[in-house]
Amino acid sequence: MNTDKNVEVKLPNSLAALARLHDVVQQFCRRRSIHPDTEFKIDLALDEVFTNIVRYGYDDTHPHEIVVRFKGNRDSVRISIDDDGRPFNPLLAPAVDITAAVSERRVGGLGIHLVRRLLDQVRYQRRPAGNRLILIKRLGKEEKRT
Amino acid sequence: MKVREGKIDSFALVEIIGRVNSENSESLKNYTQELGKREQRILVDCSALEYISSSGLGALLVLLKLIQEKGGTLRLFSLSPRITEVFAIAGFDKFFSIFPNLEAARLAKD
Repeated sequence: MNTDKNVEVKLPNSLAALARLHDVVQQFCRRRSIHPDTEFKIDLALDEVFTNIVRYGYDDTHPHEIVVRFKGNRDSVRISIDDDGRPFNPLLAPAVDITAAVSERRVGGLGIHLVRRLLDQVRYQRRPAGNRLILIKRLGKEEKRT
Repeated sequence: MKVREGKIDSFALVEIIGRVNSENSESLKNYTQELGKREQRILVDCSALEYISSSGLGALLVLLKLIQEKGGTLRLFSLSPRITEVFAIAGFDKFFSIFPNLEAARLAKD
């Protein structure tokens, strides 16, 4: 159930669902008066995580469900993303070399690099039914609710 | 996302408008591949670029590589503070030529 504080959305494993995900992020953040700069970071980080799952998470071509849950308190926002894809911990992927020359630069790995830098904490849990990634963004002083 | 293209001085002037996410970045990449083969000197107006994901950055990287290979010029201008931060986190500010506005971009020396 979606309460004022907690939101859950179930999305198909298709990049077409990114628009819906963006709408949910926007609604959640605006209802909680989260700063637009913070909303932008959450939006981008979720885009990257969701895209990685859709592109690389499955060994078959069947439809799958990705469940995104938002929770907020006065200090932070916590988002979990559950998928039933093959075991994959994106935090163990090789770090992207952001100092490499342009000819050597690849886009692979850049998404998870952005996620780590845009948010305050990223955790991975392997679960019996699949993968869970937990994203935490601390809120600035002006965003904190009393 | 929309892209508009025009001309200014000896440059192709390209405006990227709206949100470039992982879903529509493929069409941006198809466009930048074609643009990079066709043009030698390009200015990219980012004033209406609201959002860009790593896939969108990839589409711009493709363009930069094509232009650099043939010794051309690619300059971006009017990036919002949020987009500027994404470029910095990605390390893209090191090799893209970024200018505050159109005038600075078109008058810069090669």
